[in-house]
Amino acid sequence: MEFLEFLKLFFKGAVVDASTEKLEFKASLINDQFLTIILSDRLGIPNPLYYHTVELLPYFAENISRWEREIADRERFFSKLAGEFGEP
Amino acid sequence: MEIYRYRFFFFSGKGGAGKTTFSTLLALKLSEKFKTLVVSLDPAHSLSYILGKKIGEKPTKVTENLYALEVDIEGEMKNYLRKVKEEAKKVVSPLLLSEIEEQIELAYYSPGAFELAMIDVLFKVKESLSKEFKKVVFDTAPSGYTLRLVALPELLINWLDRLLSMRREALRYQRLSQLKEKKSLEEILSEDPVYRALTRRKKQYSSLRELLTGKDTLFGVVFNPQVLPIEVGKKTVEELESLGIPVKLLIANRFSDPSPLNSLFPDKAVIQVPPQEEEPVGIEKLKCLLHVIP
Ligand SMILES: Nc1ncnc2c1ncn2[C@@H]1O[C@H](COP(=O)(O)OP(=O)(O)O)[C@@H](O)[C@H]1O
Ligand SMILES: [Mg+2]
Repeated sequence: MEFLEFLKLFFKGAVVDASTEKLEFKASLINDQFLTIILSDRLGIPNPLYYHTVELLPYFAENISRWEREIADRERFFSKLAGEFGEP
Repeated sequence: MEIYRYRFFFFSGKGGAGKTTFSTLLALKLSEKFKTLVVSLDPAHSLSYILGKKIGEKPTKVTENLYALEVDIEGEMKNYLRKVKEEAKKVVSPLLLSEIEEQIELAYYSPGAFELAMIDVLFKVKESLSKEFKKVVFDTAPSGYTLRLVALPELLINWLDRLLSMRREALRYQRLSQLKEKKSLEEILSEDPVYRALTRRKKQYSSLRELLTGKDTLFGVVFNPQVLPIEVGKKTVEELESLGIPVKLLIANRFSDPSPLNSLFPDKAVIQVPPQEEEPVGIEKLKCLLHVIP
């Protein structure tokens, strides 16, 4: 399952442990991770459990605008990378 | 074949092979000794037809000890998503609400939604009705999607554990950041809707695996020479077993002679249902076939 592979990679890259950060900020980073999982489709990875995970969405709604900005940045970042190194 | 030692029954097989017919026949047999429920989760319900009686969305009495139920999965999906939307109305700020509502509506059409709803129903029936009914026969062929989910439970359970610990972390940070009087973290977790939903899903996925592969479950495959050659049916058996679902019974439906099945599967129990001149529909005709089940 592509989705589960994605999650494994995703968790590897996202360890929240910068101890200088503020506590609330750390909490909101974790909330962003939940949004990334629920809405992984927006990053091009379909979430086969979407129907079940959607029940969590209301509780992360307040983060959604910030999260959308962040993935937009990430897209820019990815396309810049592709521009520098060319398509494989 | 000792059918009475099992509590839950599932049958796989091609459309038209005789799954509903055999499920109903078996339920009728079980009901001679135990209060039994036969549940259809098939969107094209045919229990009403096979039983010759209108079956509702609540357990409908068919004979003294036999009840039947046809679940409207699409209705269940609408219900569930309506509840998620109601929750969103309570907790989401008005500015964001319409975007979130749209996201929730999309779930109805998302890949796998129907199968996941089916899992919800299986779980619900098991939780709410298996106390009242000693035997439950599910008239549904779990789809490949559902079966793969069952084959992956460790991954899924690990994943849910991971989400649970992430949620615990987030709530711990939030708690630490508050200056006023604090509840204990355990108290916060027990009231947290996200933590609770994740815990429920974890329980549900483990229960699904137990339901499909456990020792209380009889999983059978229906063969029918008019619908497909037995070599093709053999593949179904092999696939199920490779996913960790032991096939304990084979139904030789519409076989005049079941010996080819016996020799193909020398170690499995086979029940033969001979071809009937008239469709075996209605309780009276089904009763005439009860003797085929030992
Ligand atoms: N042994 C049999 N002899 C004659 N007709 C049968 C027999 N088994 C099933 N049928 C008929 O075949 C049709 C398909 O059976 P059904 O149980 O609805 O299959 P499924 O649920 O696998 O799609 C029904 O009309 C049923 O009455
Ligand atoms: Mg059927």
